[in-house]
Amino acid sequence: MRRFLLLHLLLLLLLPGLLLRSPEAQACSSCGSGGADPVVLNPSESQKFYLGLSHQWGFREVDAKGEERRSYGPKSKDLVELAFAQRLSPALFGSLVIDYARNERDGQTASGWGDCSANLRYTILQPSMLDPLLPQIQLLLNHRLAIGRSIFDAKKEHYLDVFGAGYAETAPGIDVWWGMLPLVGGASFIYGIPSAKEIDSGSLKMGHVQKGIVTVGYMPNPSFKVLTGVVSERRQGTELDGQLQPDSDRRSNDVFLTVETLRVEQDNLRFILSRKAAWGEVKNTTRGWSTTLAWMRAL
Amino acid sequence: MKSQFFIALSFTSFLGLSILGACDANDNESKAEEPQEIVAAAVDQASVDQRKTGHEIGDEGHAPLGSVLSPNGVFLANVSWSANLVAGSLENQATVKFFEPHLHKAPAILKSFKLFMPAMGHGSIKTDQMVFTQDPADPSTWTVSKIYFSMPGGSGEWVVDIEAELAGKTDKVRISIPAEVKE
Repeated sequence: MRRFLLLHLLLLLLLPGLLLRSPEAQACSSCGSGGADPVVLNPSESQKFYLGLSHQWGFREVDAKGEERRSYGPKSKDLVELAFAQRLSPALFGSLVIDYARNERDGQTASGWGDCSANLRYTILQPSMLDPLLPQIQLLLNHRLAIGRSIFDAKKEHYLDVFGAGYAETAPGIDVWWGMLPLVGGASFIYGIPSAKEIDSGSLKMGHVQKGIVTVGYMPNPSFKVLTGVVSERRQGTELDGQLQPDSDRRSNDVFLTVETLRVEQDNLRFILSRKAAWGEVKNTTRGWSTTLAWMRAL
Repeated sequence: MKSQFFIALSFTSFLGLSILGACDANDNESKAEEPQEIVAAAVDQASVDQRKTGHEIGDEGHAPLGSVLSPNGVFLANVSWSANLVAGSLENQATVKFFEPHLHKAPAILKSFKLFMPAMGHGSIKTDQMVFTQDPADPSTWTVSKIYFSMPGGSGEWVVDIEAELAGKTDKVRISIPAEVKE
């Protein structure tokens, strides 16, 4: 835990140094809020490596009535997220993401691999310096493989050994981004379709999920941006053996703040502070804080 | 050369993952198509049974109040819980009594006793430690011990799906757990 926090701190200290260096940068980058996939290629990049460190804490459960209660699960989670993006054509790139997590509660810890996801982004409309109001539009396709141990096959008390969702999910989506002016912004919409999962109680089918992300931000110079935004997620009710389970739909409304460097073909850093289930009507979810510090390197 | 290698590597990875994903989806689909006759339906048994038989619910040897009829009418089940249900403990215990649809005691075979949280979409853990004991003096009564709740829950947030066999027929019924499961 201390080692993880030290690494977090070290990357934070490096951030201002990188921000002060100001090489030429392209005024173009996709949303990059991490709502869909953490690593996004600029048009000039062909490969990029991503290493993210996350710390999550302050969990509170929100029940079906929207009432908050103490969490019975881990008190904190640390994640190391690895991703690699590869351009496949001028308009298409893909990325693979996997994470390794460590859960902690009252001095007890457990570690394990989380889920893996494969992502594709296809640019159907490129932004242009000639018309800065023209947005970039990308189609997204994400598939999550349920690799990590989940709540359905947990063995340890307080779900200390839960690292994954437990079910595969395929999610197409669309991402619109205006990034050519100092005032930037965009929106994404993702529709997730989960696969059925055989559990001890029967055949479980999580509900389809709709996720919307709205982002606004400011780029004081081409190599740095500050973003803030909201993520709203609605998941339909769960079915067990074909029967809809009462009060099982889920709602969460999150908020995030992102600070990111945008130096083309060099090292970049991203810092995200987010609050899950922060506002509005929420149910059957977990409220909590999260920080992520990521290092990205275009190859 | 280097970028060609990475392109080839990525393409191979995506292809492999797509095949894995397709296999995963196929497995799930085939399992989902299996016959499922485990629809749970709670019935206001007190009023229904009183109309049918004229017996006062709760008479000795008859189904007590709160008994639930299985969806295919194979049996009635009644569950009483030990006092103070606690999450994270194997000390919890339940008594399950089975009755025929005509309300007389029935020597059903308890096949499974599965906890589930409908709103959260998950069951419990350590289910392999649960012990079923049939009362030799009253075969309609079973004791289920070492019941483990993986998290606390308010009244009705946990349910139990009970599968039992009576006279060669198997049915499954869902019964809400009325007590709070404390931390």
